[in-house]
Amino acid sequence: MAKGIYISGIALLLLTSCLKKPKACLELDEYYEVGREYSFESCSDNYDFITWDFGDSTAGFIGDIAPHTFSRNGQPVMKLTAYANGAYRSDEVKQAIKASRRYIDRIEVTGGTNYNKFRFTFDQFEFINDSVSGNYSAVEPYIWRFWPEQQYVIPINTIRLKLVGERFTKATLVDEDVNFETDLSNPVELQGLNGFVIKFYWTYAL
Amino acid sequence: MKTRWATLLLFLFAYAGNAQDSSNVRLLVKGVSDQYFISINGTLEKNKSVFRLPQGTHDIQVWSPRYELYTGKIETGTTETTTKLVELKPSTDYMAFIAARESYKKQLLLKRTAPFLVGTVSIVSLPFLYVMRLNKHEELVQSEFYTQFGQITQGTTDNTAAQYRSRNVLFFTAVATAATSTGLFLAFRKQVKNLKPPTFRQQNPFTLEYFDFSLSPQQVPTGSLVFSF
Repeated sequence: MAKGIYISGIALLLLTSCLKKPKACLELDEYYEVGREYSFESCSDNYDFITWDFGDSTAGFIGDIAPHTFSRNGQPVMKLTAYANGAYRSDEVKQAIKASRRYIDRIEVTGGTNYNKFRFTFDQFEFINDSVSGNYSAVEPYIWRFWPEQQYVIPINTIRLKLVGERFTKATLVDEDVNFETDLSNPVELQGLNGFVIKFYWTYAL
Repeated sequence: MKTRWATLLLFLFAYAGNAQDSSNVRLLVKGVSDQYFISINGTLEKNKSVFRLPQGTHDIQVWSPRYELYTGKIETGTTETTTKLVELKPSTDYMAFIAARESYKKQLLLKRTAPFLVGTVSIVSLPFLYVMRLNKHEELVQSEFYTQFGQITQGTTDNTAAQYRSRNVLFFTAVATAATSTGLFLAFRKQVKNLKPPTFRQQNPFTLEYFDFSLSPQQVPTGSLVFSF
């Protein structure tokens, strides 16, 4: 009888040790752009399935690769739970992220100028600055700040950026389409006429 | 003429006297379908049911395996055929053997066969029930997750929870049954080992041969002959 109990105990121990222990893992960026569709992938291990709670009161997701689009600015805490052994074993990990739209932060203009006015066109918006004078080098560029006084959202599509210099005449210094859906560089650097360079900086709100 | 009539009458009387000297005896043995042994006046007549016996009283003995020896007399009258009904009574020892055999079979059933069968069925079904339970729990957790976000209704989750509870009951019942059956099987193992199958031996009073009755491995009583010289 004692032998039987001993063998049963060993068998139970072996069975328990065979059970999977899931390890939840989440590696996220600090910021995620509102309106952009992301595919989240987990670095979890030893699991059967994963649940994703995006922390923004939207629908959850079950699966390895979770598609999600944040719909408003905020600081959601994303929770990932990895389950194994019929969901009797689980491990979860939480991580706070920042979801925000992209806003125009500033533009930095470099280039010799005899213009006293810049007219900057971004999509359907036009901004005029008449405090322009002198030459602007890469070390001391002309800085035109927008954020936070002016909060212009950068749409996730192709936008035409145009800079026009004015004194007595008008000259289009930069006129270029930027695809903000694919271009996530910051700043976005645009080469214009006569050595003009625009560095377009954007920022997240949070 | 007188002589002729006298001769005829003498013949008729003689014939009539000769006809009543012996009689056909029909023996009916009640309650026995297989072999039986008959001894008439000490002479063995195996499995015979019709005899020609002279008029008078005769000793008759009938025996069949598993039955008591019948001892009686038969009287053949003036009729051509005499019928004798013999009813054999089952041997008391054999009845005791039957009772012991039933008790033995019952003990085997309760202490070995039933625990073994129930335990085996439970143990075999355990992996299936375990997997079914795991799958349903997984489904329940996912269902609860979706309900939390309003992606499915609470009713769906309640339904899944009820199914999960049923599978839990099935699984734990199987676990308990397997444990109990195995425990009983092991606990009774020595007792079953010490159980002796009952046997019954009976001697043919005429041939002195022995009939042995025991339990075959299939627990069917079998008869065997042992000749003694």
